[in-house]
Amino acid sequence: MLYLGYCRHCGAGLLGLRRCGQGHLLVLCDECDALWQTSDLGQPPQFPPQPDLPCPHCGQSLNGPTAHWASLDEVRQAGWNDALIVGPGGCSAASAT
Amino acid sequence: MRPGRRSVGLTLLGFGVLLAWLVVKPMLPTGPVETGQVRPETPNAGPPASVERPDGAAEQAERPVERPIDSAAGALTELPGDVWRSPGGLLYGPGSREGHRLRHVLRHARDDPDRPGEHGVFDGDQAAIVALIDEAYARSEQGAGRVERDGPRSVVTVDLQRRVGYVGGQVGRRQGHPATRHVRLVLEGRNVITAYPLRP
Ligand SMILES: [Zn+2]
Ligand SMILES: [Zn+2]
Repeated sequence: MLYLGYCRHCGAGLLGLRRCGQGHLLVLCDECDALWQTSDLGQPPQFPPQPDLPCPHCGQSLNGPTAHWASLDEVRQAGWNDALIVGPGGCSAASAT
Repeated sequence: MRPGRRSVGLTLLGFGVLLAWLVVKPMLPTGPVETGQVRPETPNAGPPASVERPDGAAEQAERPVERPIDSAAGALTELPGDVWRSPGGLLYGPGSREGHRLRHVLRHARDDPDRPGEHGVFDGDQAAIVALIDEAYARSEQGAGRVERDGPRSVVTVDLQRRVGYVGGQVGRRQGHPATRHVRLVLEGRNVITAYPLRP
């Protein structure tokens, strides 16, 4: 899972890059489901309704069968700055590939 | 068939019937069985496990039943919608990438040594973990610990003043898995989003 850092809301989760079934990219804490719509983590998180976690753009569930943790290609396609991303080994995913 | 051969054949047939009776007899019910009545069976109830005591005597004990982790264990009560209520009144329902909050919490029943950062690991099994979470919640309701509120969320951190688990993950591995006394709960009302031991 590619992630941007650690969740300040719960203090334990990794901020993963979650892609909904429609291709919207979001930042989602894998521990507490705190959600950011952009990589600006200075903004307060959102807490989408449980248990479906509807995507704030299209309403599709972020826990649904077509939602998934984004690949580096998907992050790049979405135009996000992949230099911010940390890979599974804890190093920059961009430099790791 | 000649008479001699017929006699041998009948003898063999007699032995066969006797043998079949001896095999089938222990399987037959000893008491009356009412037609159409099915003896109630306990799900997953196998023969009781035999536990060897130190003095060598075998003691009959109930075998721990392997259940799906989102089913009842310990004293959880099932509510509609696959929601399970703990004795302390906390609710575990569907949600998370694991499909159920109880399963999500039980990620902290074991270490994840390759996980970046710290990964809190509870001591004990599912029932013990649910009890620890209840205890932390009860203490926070009595005013202990710290509660941070953020929208619908409460993040509760309570020092249970004894070891409740240890720090795992990559950081825990580097630091020799230090013990933890604190439990953190992330709640929406009484719904458990997640819970884990941590060093605050
Ligand atoms: Zn979080
Ligand atoms: Zn979407």
